[in-house]
Amino acid sequence: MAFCGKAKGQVLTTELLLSVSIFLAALLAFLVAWNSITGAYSNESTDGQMANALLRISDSLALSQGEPLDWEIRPQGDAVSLGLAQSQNVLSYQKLYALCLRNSTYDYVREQMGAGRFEAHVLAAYPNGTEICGFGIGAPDTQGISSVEISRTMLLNGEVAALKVQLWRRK
Amino acid sequence: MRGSFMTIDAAVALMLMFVIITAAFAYYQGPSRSDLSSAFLWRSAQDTATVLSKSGALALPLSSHEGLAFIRSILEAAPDGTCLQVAAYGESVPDSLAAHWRFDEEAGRAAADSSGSGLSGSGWGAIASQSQDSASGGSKYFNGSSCIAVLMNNTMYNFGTSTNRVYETDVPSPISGDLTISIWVRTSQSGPSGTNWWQGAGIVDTNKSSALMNDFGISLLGSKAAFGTGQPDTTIVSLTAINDGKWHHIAAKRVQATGEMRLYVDGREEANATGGTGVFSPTWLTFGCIYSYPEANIPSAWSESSHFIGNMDEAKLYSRALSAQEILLLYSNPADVAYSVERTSCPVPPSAGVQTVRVPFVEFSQSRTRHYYADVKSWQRGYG
Repeated sequence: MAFCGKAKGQVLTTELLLSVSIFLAALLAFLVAWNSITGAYSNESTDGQMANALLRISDSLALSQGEPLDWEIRPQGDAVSLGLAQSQNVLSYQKLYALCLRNSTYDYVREQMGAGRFEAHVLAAYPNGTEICGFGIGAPDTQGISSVEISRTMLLNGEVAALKVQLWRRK
Repeated sequence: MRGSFMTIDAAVALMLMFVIITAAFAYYQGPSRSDLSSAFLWRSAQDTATVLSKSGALALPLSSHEGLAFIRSILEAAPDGTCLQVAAYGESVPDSLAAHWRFDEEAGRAAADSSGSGLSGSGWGAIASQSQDSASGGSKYFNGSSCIAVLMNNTMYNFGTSTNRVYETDVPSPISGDLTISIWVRTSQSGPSGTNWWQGAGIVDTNKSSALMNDFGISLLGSKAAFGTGQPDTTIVSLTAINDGKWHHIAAKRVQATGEMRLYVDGREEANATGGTGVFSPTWLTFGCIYSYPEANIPSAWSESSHFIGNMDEAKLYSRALSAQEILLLYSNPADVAYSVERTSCPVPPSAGVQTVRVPFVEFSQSRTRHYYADVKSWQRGYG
């Protein structure tokens, strides 16, 4: 009885070790894959948030005058939202240059724009590439950077211009 | 062994869970990217439409060749990966246009007049359904018991409890003497036989304006198109059979002073005659049936017969007799395209993945105002 009982116990222990090993291997494989998926999803999700923020910011800049309407001549802290349009898709020269002159307070203005944790770059240019003025920091041309960009067709003093807005982040 | 099996079960369960969660992520993320792409494209189309409108560029190609180049320069300002097309539409022959029923409405009973005259129609009987098969835009399908009626004179009619429908317009009849009717039809129906248009399947018909029966209409008489006027009844019939299941353009014109009548099929004159010289001032104009009761002003006596089976599209009514060249233009340009400009290196728009913004515009020339609209379309370069 004692022998049989010991032998049975050994068999069970071996099976247990084997099953635990297989289970742990499967669990490890699952966790590695899971980590990869959630990491990718996290990146995708953040990029999606960045794209949504880009649309929101570019709409505000290209279509609205900002709040208050004369934010460009008021103290910087008065601005609730930034808009560069004198009317929809028509750039205001004064508002555009007011933004470009605020590069020294980049982080503060970036927050006012609603860019949050993303870096921002705004550039007004003519279709032939001639730059009118810019604000912020463009995405470096290196690996490990995720960026989204939109170009809004505008009028500036009767001429066609492009208002390019870029948001980016380090992965 | 039992322990091993349990482990395999657990592993299988984990794998299944993994697959399900992966699939859920994939499903969740797919539409999001698509929505973002659409949002970017829509903004390109909307921005371009607004800039074109505010810069006054849309009307420029109508008067100068440089206008097209200016529009193209605006399209080039869009993001690199975006294709854009601007297509402007207006009336090919705008002068003396009394009504234009495009038959593009989703609602089967409605027939809006886009000319600005206010002669919109409404249907009864079976609903004339909307069809994508058309000469331009959508078309109306008449199933053999449907009829659309347009009140042509400044009156109000209440058709009583059976139909419980009130028709009212303050628009005076836009035609009285000279006229041209232009319409696209597609049918496989064999119409009734006879010698007068009012014996055929009604395509366009009017009631009399007085006891003298000064009415007119176009019908399918057998396999041919027939155009006729009343007092005295005079009907001319096409040479071409139009019931071959293909789209055909039918135009009919009448000159009051001489009684001259001419019938055109697909831009070519096929019949002519001399009819009466009375004044035409119909109260009703119908599509898809013959207005068969002689007294228009007795609501309870409204009657329709000889229904048409098939599609109709782009019906136009003019208050003058158009020239043969003008009728040829109506035939050759059913969509009334004024001009079309694409961004460089962009093919025609694909069938899917296109964002469209419509913008109306006006051309002022020689003291006249002409109304157009432009469709600005955007899509991803290389898509489709």
